[in-house]
Amino acid sequence: MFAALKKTTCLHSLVDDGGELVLTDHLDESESPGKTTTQARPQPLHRILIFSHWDSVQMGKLYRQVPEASSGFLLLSQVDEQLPALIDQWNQKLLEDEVRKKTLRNTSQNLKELELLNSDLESMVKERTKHLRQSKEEEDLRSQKFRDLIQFILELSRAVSEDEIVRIFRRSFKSFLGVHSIFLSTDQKITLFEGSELRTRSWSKLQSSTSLTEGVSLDSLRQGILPDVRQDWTRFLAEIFQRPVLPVLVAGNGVFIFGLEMDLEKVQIEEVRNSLEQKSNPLVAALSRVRDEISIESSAQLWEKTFDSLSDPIAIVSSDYSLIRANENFRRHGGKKCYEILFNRNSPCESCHLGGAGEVHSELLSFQMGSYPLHLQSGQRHFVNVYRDQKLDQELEANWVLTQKMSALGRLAGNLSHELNNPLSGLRALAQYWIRQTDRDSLKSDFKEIESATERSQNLIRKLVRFSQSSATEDVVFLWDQMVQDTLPLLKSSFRRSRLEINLRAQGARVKADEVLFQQVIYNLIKNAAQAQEIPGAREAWIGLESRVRGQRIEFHVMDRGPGISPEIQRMLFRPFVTTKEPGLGTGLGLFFVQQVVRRYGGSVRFQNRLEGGGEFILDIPLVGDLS
Amino acid sequence: MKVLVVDDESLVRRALVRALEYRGHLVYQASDAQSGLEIWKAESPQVLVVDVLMPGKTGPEMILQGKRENLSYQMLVFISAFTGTEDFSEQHLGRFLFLTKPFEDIFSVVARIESEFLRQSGSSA
Repeated sequence: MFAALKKTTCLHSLVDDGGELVLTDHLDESESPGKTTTQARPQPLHRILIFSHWDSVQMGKLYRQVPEASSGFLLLSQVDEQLPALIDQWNQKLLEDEVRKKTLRNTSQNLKELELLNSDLESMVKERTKHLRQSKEEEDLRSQKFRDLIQFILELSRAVSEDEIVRIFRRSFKSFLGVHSIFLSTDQKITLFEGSELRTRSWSKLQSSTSLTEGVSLDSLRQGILPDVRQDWTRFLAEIFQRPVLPVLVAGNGVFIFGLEMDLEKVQIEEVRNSLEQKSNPLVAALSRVRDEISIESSAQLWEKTFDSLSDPIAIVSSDYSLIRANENFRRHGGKKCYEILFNRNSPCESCHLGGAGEVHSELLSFQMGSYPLHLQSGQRHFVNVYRDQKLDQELEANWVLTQKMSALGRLAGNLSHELNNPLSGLRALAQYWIRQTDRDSLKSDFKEIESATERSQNLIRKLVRFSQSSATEDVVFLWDQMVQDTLPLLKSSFRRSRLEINLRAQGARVKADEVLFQQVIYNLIKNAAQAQEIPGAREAWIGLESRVRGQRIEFHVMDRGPGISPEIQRMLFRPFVTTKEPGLGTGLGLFFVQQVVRRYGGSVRFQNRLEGGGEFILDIPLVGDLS
Repeated sequence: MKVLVVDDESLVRRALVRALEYRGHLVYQASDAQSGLEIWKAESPQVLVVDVLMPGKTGPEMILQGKRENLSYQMLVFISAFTGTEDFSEQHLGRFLFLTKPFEDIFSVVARIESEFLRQSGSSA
């Protein structure tokens, strides 16, 4: 049976394959499929149990002992006729199993390898990512530094002083905590920036006791020559500030020297040094610019101040009258064109002398103008216009003429009074004698008439002398109304053809001024009022005088019934040498004089046409003291 | 009172003479310094009333001339249209009364001269 079995090909191959063939009739505990006959032998791959007879109880027992059907137990009955076929079948199955197992093993191996590869790849990716991240950080840092530098340059470009530049420089080192203070040394001074404090020492004020390093002479510093030896500077600055200084950057051909006082690691020192090197060019550029600007500005300011201090208007204009520059005295009105600004016109002056010379004027202003061509490098052609205010000239001249006139009048009045006083004295005395001597009443009354006439004449002469003494300018306190009354006798001739209406209501109002000057003012105004009515066929001439107190001021009106004054002439009423009178009747100085005197004592004078016809001058003079 | 009035202004001279005569004084008159000196020499007046500014010799010049010629007077009165600006101190004119023109009242001028004369003769007596 066994032989037959053994002959079965499939069994052979089974045994060859490491399997075990067990023939058994029974199944005892020791023959459980988990054990082999020989303990030392390795666990067979397959075990085929062949039973001599089928005992289902036994079989079932055994079967239960078999841990798993697939592990290679085949239960066969001896009687089974189909044994060889079954074995073949079994064998086939085992082979398949084997292949499957192998495949599984291979697959698992492959998987492991794959996993390994994957892990390698992963670490590679990680490595790569890390690297990328690092380079990105570096890149970020670099671009941050670049941005900082640009920011630094931007800030520098806005700086307007050396001190500000030092501040910006200090701020740019804020990230270096070990940098304590910053020095900037120029050919003029040394600036130390510490914390938020800025200290400056000028070379010229440095004490000679400062022990200087060889190669750095204080004299040469005072002359603005800086040494360019780096080591010397480090020591020199250290000695001046009594503290270690490192590093030092010499830039701008030695004109600007930057020093840092710091407490940093070696790596950081290198970084600071690099930062310093990077900043040196923008710094020098900014410092040079600030210096240039300051020097340009100060010279420009000097020019501007010079021009502004001139009382004559000066302007640079283009050939189309656009204002390029002007001094303060030129700017009178708003606008872009010279004629707008100076004359308040909206078209060029008809009398303009651009590029030439001559008089240019508007209704109110009159200038002697000189215009000089200015050729610019750009090829543009401008003009420098210099104006001389003729009004100022006229005022000066008018004042001079007035002074001359008054002094001539004073001399004349002095001589006249002497010549007149003698006969008047005699006349009056004789009249007094005859009043006493005669018994005839008619004669007595005649002499009384003569006496009083001579007395009036004497008084008039006295007033005339005082009136014309222009040199006697002494301010006194006087009663306004009284002063007006005292002036009237001098104006008898003016009143000859006029009715005079006097309404003085400023009783007790006093003014502190030169009384004689005000008498002349009143005289001029009344004379004007009278002359304004000397027109053939005019209404009855009338002159009204009124005074009243308003607050702390006296208001005084001189009114007439003349034709009034047109607005055009009103505007230049108080300008000297302006007269509407016939030649020989006026010098054009009367009202100018009135305004000059009134203004001198803080008053004002204005003219207005009266609703009833005619015009009036209104004086407004400050009072003095209390009303009594 | 024997008075000499010297003034080139005839109206003033005439008025003074009339007023002095009215007061009962003996009055001589001259219209210039030269004729004044002659009357002074001839009549020896007690009081000299002399205008300061006259054509030819001035009043002070006339007085100095008279003094050089040893002429004398008791009282000297200068009259002038100018007020106090003249300075006679250097001219050794001695004491004098200074009256300014214009006169307010001729009789008060005369009264002033009279009272001054009385005061001076009283003190000299």
